[in-house]
Amino acid sequence: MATSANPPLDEKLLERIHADQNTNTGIENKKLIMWLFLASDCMFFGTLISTHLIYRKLYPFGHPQEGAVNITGTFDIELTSFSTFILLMSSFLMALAVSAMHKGAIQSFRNYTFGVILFGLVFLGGQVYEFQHFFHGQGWYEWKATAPDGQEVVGNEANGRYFKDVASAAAAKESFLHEHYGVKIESFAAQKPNEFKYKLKLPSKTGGEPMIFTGVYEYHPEAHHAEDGESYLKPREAFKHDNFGFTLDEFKQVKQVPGLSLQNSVFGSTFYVMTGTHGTHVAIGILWLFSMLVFSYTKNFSVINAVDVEIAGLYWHFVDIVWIVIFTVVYLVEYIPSA
Amino acid sequence: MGHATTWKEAAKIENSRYHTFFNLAMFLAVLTGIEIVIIFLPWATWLVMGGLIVLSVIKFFAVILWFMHLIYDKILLFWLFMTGMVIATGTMIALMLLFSYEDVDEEAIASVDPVVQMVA
Repeated sequence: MATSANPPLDEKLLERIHADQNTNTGIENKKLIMWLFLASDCMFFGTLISTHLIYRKLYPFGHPQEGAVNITGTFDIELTSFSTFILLMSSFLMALAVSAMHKGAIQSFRNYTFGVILFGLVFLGGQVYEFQHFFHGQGWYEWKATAPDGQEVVGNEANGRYFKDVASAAAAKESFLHEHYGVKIESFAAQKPNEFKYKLKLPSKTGGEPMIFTGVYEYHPEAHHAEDGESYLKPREAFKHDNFGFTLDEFKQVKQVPGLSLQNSVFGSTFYVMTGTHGTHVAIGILWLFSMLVFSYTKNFSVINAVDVEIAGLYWHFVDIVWIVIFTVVYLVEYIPSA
Repeated sequence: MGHATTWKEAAKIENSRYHTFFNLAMFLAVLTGIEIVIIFLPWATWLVMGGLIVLSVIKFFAVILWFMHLIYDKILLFWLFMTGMVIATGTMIALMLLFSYEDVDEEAIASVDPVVQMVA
């Protein structure tokens, strides 16, 4: 049974791990081989990054057959910056985990390692989201609808921006209806039984004045069965379910940028291979640290394993430094005009 | 930072490293923030590119020296890693120069008969 306090210190073991190693170099062999591996991994990532940069320069438009891809429009720099911050902080926790092991504080090591694994998973989650977002491409849409008071409402490329990450028109339309045209309820109050006075607002995506719609909604409970098929939706929910009385007359795609895939562009090929290889390194690091965490709960684990934690830590920090380079040369550089 | 001869000394050193690591983590976060801000500043391209390269190099060395303990460990490890880094950087520079876009003669490529090219 694990306890939250650190176990008693074994002074002999601690003296052993802090003594110079009985090797030709005075360095633990495991640690030496890890550094050699990391040095060779530098060359591996160096070639992947160069390949990306060279092809980025030779094929500046990304999609040779289908037109220019707007790379900064595809990238989500806020998300990538957040992921970078998370990975840096995971490196900090990893340094503390190694430090804890050197002091024989096994419980502290477990806590920090748990934090590293959690941050690593957040980073990987961000990368999965990013890949999925890139793969689906972008679309711009125009739509025409009739409001309940008869007003005609038109949405276009500019004020329909929030669908731009959906290249499929059918999926964008479904999402558009699911979001109820972006209309918000300002007020909804009963004036008679089953009659509700409402005020709706459609915010402008271009920073202009919002459109306001007012009217009376007649509630017919029998027409609005809830999911269980027996009870009825509440008036406000029923009104929302009826799309606030709006009718969609037209919804069409006016521009499309295909998603980025391994096959459809040189940029996609080199980008996915490079960032995917880095993501695989992160995933391996998470599995490695998770196995160390599980191992730390067994009887065989002691401060003598400090060197094992240290080499796992070296690997984790390496993953972080590779990301420092990728973040700059692959992401940030794209935002510099005429770079 | 002196080399500990007993684990108690080592523990003291580790305790002081906590603050070093914390300060370093905050420093790295600030540098990342600066990187994100400068790309949107209306500065000359060379200045922004130069700034990004310098900041990345600082971050890179901060992590390998302190978080990866190269500053505390035997110097052999530092040179071992640097050997890999130098070869990797050299390969990158060589590749970038070899495949420079300016050297590609687009007209010559376009004028080559595809059949002749295949036979050749």
